[in-house]
Amino acid sequence: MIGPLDAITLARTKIRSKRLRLLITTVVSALVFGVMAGATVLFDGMASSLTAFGRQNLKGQYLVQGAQNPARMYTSGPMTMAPNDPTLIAEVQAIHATYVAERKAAAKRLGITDYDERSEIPPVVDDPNPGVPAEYRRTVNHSSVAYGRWLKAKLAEMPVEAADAVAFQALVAPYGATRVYEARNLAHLQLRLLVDGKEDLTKVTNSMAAGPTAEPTAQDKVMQTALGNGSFTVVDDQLVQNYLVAPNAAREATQGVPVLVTVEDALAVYEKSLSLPKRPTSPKEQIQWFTSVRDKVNGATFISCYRNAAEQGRVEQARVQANEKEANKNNRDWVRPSLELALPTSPCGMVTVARDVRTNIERYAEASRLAFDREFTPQEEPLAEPVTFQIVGLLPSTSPTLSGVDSVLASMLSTNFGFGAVIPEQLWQSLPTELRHEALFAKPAQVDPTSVMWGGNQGDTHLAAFPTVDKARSAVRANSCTMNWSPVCETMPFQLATYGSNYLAVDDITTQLRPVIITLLIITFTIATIIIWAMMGRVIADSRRETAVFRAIGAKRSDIVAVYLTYSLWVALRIVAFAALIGAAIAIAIEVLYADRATTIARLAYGVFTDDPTFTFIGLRSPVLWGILGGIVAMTLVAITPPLLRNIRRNPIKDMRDE
Amino acid sequence: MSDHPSSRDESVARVLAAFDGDVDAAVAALRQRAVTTEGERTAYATPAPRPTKPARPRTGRVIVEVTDLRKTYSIGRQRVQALDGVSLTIDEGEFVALVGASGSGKSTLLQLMGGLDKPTKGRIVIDGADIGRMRDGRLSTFRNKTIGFVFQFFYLQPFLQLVTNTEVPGMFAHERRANRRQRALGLIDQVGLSDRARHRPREMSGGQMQRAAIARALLNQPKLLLADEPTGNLDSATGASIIDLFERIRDERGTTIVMVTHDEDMAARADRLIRLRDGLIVPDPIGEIGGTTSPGGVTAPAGEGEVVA
Repeated sequence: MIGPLDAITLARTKIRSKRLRLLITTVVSALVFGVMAGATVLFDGMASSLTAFGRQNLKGQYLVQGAQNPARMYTSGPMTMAPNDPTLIAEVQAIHATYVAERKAAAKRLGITDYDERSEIPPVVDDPNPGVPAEYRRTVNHSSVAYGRWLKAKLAEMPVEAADAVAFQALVAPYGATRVYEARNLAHLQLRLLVDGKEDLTKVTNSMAAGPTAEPTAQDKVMQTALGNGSFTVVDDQLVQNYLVAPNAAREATQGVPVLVTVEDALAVYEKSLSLPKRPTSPKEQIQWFTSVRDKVNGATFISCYRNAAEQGRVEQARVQANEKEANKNNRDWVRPSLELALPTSPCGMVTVARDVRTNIERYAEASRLAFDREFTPQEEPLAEPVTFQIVGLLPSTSPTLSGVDSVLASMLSTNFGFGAVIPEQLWQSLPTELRHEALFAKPAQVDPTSVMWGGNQGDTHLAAFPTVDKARSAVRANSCTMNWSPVCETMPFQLATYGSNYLAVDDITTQLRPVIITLLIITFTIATIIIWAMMGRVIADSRRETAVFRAIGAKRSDIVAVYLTYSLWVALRIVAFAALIGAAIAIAIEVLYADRATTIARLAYGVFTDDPTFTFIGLRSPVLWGILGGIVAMTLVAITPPLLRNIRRNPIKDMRDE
Repeated sequence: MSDHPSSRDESVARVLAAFDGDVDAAVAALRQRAVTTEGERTAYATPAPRPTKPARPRTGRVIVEVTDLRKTYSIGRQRVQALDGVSLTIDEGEFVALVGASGSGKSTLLQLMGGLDKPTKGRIVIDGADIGRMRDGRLSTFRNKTIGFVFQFFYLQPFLQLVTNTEVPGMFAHERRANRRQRALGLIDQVGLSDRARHRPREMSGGQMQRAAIARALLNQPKLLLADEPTGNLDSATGASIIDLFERIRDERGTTIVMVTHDEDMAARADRLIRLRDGLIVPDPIGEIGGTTSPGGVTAPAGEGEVVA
């Protein structure tokens, strides 16, 4: 067969003919493939950058969180029983009868004469609506004590694997998890910030502080922050070490529970008192601004108030009484309660008794009722406890107020280490006992299975650390149904997702876009193949005389094939080169325009303030990229094959005679 | 013929000379070849140029031997008998012109001799090899080494320099570039285009392009050069210079040249003229007899008793 250099020499003569047609084909194909190649380069660059920042952020660990699979609760176990199930209704009614009997006996023993079993929440409710079919009218009452007892008994019979850290560890270990952590949510403590050392108890709850419609005041805004409404999460120090700052003069003496706050919360609470600088609009200045805010709030303290349920009940009672008193101040017929409570006058103080004119009988009846309640529900003593916190680090913005491309970048590059403020567990444990508030922040020894059933231990999250992105990805993909829901999902004990940072953000996007990308690739390759096929067919048809001449002067069929394959390879390489140029131009343009901004946003989000790594949009390791470029070559060779085979089967003399 | 009485006289003289003055034998031979068909009578009536140069003796070493060659084409439902039993021999170093009207089969004969097409029937032996029996690959190699082609429209690669164009047959022969280039430059020099070696075809005249095509045809030193209307696209002076070149090639290299032409003047420059009509070689009048055939395709040995122009 003809030598490769000679084949190139002869193939090049074809490149020079039909230049316009070849140029149009090359440009159109290269544009389509160039955009694809560019997108691939960008995706790969972003994925690599996210991986690099994620590695720096958690010192080579990639975290995956496991939340209880909500679907599973409703597909197995007692929750699957229909509320109108006759068996369920019979069992709950039987439990209710026992409960009432117990209550009656206790009332009799304690001398409570006015106990009325009708005061109990009924175990079954009947819907009076005649439109409801008869079999659905009678349903079990999920709020009843009897149903609660039934549910608890049923759950006690079930393995509580869904919320079990051991089960989580067993799940993630096969994927290569090296360590398991836990992020403990403390929102249920309802810690309430003392603003300027004062406590406003006139409003009902933290979240409703401003009321649903009223314009929030500055104080309301403060109360809506994580610090204000007590959204704290306890996590391992390792997970937030990038955001911890070294002690400064303000932290010479440890003054309270260590906490990392978000930069927004720091601004809301300390902007005036610590003269914090305003957030710059330019992303470039944000690192300097962030570090400035961080240095200023480092060591700052604040106090939040913890009230247990009993004390919160007393606060509520005092508030109701105060409102009634105010409403009836001109009503002569209003009878003042014999026991009046007063809202605390000191920050985080206890509710006090303002007036107690109860008779002995009333006092006895009250004591009896308390004893009666204790028999059936654990009762705690009222408690109000101020907790001092000290800021030891600053977390990046969870919802950066950026716009346009920056907001897209920021959403991709965001990090989230729980909800609101974060308490680093080891730092907290190193506190002296008097500052630690062990009872509040320590992990509870036991978990109520009913609370597990209803969504876990109030949002506690199991975390697994993986040494590589690939291992983390495989764990998430095998135990996640956010992208594709299927019946298998309902059997999964946990739903896994990335935690801390979006290191799999690009993966998620790619997974979502995969069907679109595959379809686009098929369509593009098909269209390009047809276009190139037509062009090649035309070129070969136009070259029949030339083929005949070559045959006349001694070319074998294989020589002709070699020349045309070289030609098609040449065309393919031109398309590849143009596509690579276009792809590179796109990637470089994005890199030039946005890499600096992305680096800034990533540094802020990941708490990486060193010069390395930087965020880049250029990545060349994706097999898809090389697949596209190789596909162009394959496509061109495929496109030339049919006309070439037809051509070499022709009688050269006929072509010469036709000419 | 009546237009050229002196030529006719000279031819008669040559015929007589060929038969050592035996008039009876010469007349008998001529009569034997004189065909009585209507077509042949017409051929007699066709004026032909009188050869003007001295006769060249045939070498006797046959390089082309065509026996009872037939070729039928199908054009739609119609079958066309392009060749209808042609037999001839051509000696090594001979310069033969194939003439005839359009559709007479001369180009078909040339192409079959070049192995570009397969005969429907008959045998073609080139340089001792029966090319009808060769497989495609071997035939290509044979063509590359043994046969050179020259076309009416030159068919040079428009984007290649003359020297590279000349090298193309060497490329298909897998020859080392340095060797073939040296030879190509030598040939370009021989055809008088040494100052054009780096030019592209569009920068050359028609005559120069045809010289270049001849150089290309000669690259692999073929024994047989087949030229299809090589002067058909050139003016008469340039055409004559191409014939000069053929003659020189024949003389210097001993290359056998078979040229198809419509141009009787150019044909007259050949050593021998073979006239075809309706797929048959027709016997020429005195002085122009080439191969021999009978109406039924029965062939008399070519060269035997032929009058060489």
